[in-house]
Amino acid sequence: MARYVMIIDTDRCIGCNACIVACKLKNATPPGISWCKVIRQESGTFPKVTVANTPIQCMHCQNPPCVENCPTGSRVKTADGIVTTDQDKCTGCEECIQACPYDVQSVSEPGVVGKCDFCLDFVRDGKKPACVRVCPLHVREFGDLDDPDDIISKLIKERSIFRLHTEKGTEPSVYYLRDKD
Amino acid sequence: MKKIVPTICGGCHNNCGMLVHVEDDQIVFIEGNPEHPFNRGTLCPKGLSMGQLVDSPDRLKRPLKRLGKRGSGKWQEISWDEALDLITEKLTEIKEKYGPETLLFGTGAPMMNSVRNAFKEFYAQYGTANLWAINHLCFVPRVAALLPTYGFRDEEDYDGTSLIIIWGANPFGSLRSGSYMAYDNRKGYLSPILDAKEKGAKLVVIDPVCTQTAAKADLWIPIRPGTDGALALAMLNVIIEGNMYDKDFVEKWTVGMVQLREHVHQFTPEWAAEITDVPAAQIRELAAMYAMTKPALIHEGNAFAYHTNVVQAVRAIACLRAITGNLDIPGGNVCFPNVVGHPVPVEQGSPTGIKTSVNASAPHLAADRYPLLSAGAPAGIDALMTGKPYQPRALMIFHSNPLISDANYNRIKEALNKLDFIVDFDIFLTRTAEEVADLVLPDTCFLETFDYRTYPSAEGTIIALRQPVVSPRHEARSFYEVEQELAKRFGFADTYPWHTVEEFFAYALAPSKLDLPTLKAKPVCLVGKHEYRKYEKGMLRPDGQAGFNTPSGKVELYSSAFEKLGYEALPTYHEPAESPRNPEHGKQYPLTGVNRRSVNYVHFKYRNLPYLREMEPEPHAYLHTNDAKTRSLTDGEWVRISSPLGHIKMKLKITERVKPGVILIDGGWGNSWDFKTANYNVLVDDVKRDPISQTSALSSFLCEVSRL
Repeated sequence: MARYVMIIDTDRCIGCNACIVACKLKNATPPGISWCKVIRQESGTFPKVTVANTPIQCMHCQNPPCVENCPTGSRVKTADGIVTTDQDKCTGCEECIQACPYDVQSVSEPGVVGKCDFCLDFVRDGKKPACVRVCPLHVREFGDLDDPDDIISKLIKERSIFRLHTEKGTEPSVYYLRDKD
Repeated sequence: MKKIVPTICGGCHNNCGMLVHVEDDQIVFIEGNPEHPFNRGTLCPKGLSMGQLVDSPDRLKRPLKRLGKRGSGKWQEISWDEALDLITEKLTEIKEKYGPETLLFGTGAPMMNSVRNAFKEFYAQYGTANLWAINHLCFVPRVAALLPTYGFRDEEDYDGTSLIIIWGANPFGSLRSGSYMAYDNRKGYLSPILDAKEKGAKLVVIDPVCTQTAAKADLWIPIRPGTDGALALAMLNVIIEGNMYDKDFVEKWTVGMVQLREHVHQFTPEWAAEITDVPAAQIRELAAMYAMTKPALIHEGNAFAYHTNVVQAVRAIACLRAITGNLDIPGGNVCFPNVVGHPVPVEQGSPTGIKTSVNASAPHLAADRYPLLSAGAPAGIDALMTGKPYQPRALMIFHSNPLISDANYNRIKEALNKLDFIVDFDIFLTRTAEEVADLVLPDTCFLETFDYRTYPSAEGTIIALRQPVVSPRHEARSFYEVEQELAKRFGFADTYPWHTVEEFFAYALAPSKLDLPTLKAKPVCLVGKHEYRKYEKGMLRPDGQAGFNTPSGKVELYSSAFEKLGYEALPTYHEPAESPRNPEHGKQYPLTGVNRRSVNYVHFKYRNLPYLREMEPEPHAYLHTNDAKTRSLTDGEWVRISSPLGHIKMKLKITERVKPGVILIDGGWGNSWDFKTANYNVLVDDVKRDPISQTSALSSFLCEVSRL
């Protein structure tokens, strides 16, 4: 069985919004709702300024607090590592949103909590998620960590990586690359 | 019925390959085409949003005839026949009464070849050469400097370079690595610059703002707006006086080094430092870095053409490239296939449009005043306001919004209102259509039309097909039909070089031996090939001789063409027309306005596409912390930006990324579906201009910002 993870190279990200709009288009999210976001930060004083763009979306945690806290069983983690929501079972109680440390979910209509599902239908069809394919700077990579020949496995081995909120024990499946601080 | 149709985006000059998923004549999904070498499956937020263009509620549905006064908002829907009859009646009357040359024709940025090709044959046969366009604020002023110098408009060869200087350009903001170039990439169409960095190339960005591109640079040089020519001249001074130039190349392939050497002696780094705010030591370092790093390239961008000294500034950069031996070599500034000035044609025509079977007998109305760039808007406005050399009477506009996309909105509006008849052929009721058009025609959008695009590449020229993915909405018609109908009514359809879309393609692409059936079968083709150092091999000149396509056959550091026209033959620096250094100007309006490009929009387009508007709902101006503090302004408040010509409203963002003394202002707002009070061009003058290219001070105009 595969174990899908995503790698994001924030040094390459320019905050162009291609991934955000690709996600909206694919998932038909309504105005004001996005399952993919970019955190934009500026620091320093002129002329020594630094700009950072950090794309985030559901981390598809190995220990997902949303799954643990879902009272209806609509939030599940698949055998290949994707955290999904059964829309029919979801009652919109928002326990998952409360439990999640990443603020990557949204309620677009009453009774429905939406979030990134790694474009599960694409992935099962052998294609990569929309945000990965669309990026004009190849900021994202996606693959199977259980496959040692997958580009993902090589990148995780060779590059300096970090993940968000590891202190919470969530074990996210989204890794960030950084070569410089 | 479901289908996936390959086509090319028409959102910007990139023309990325797209795969459009269609169900029952509706677009259900858009993705990048992995088979198109320009973008290999990647796309930008604009391309992804184009499904919202086709069925936008703002689409023009039927021809509209103006009722009441211009700008009253009263329209009558009429049939195409009535519309075409009206055009025929009016243009015949104008031709008989005043002469055909009194018809101006305007087009916007030719991001689709149809924009520059449409109606050209019609205008030529009708008898007018008066293109009235946006050439003066874009690519063409730089071409006006490069062609006389070395005979071609280069593109950057990122792969294999050791130093990238991005100057007055923002590839990571405009989402364009070069001008038209398709770079070999497996990692997205913007990847070439970062890939070069990964291989060890240094990235230097020269810009008053820490743009998205400057944020990725190894070195950001925050230069004062409009002073780039001074920096370039000082670099020439350092390189020449330090003997750091390529002596072999200069001796064998250039003329004018003696004069240039003497001329730049005065342009010391100290002189330039005072003008540019770049320290003299850094100027010396940069010059040495550029001269001694092999190979090296300079990507000079459209921001140069936002200053009244553009042509001479780019002449200096052209000389830098030449004397360091970086022309047409791997990793340098290269004459790739299909760039302007490349002697091997791939299509019948030029950057201004398809080759016509005849030429209008009367020269362009600005041919005497601006021989190197006649078609700029300001000269046409001058003619309207002064009646010299004659009074224009009519205007046909295609894919353009000149009322708000050119500098000096109020002057343009006054001038256009002097015309007897204005026709506007567009997909939306733009500000131009609303306020000055007498007749508005509904155009097909790019997802409903055939067209082609050519892209330079290191492999040869790539030629790609644009084809309809859905049927035209409402009564929209493409220019092919409309032009033929007009030609018939004027009685010259029989002498046209084409009559159908198929014939148009066969005619336009004859030099490449391609036609529509071939492209339909293979929507992306490669023609020709590429070699470096063409000047050694006789591949730059139409006569096949070695050398450059210039009067002397060499790179003209001293430009004989400029001398002949009475222009300064050696590159020179002139202070921007509006200068904070001028005690008269700078007191009341101490800030320098600089234009900002958005990743989400193109010029004045697409703010009515919901996905894109969601990304960027409001217009902003960006100001340094200190400048905001002294004016008691807070982040996020609406502010007034004023110039001697007027004022606009923007939302303020306070940042450290903008050079103090500069205000970065979003361009492109001002249509009725967004914020009419945020039109950048209300603030900018067009009377003071570059004497060669008519360029306005779009990014070096003086203004002030205050609370509302």
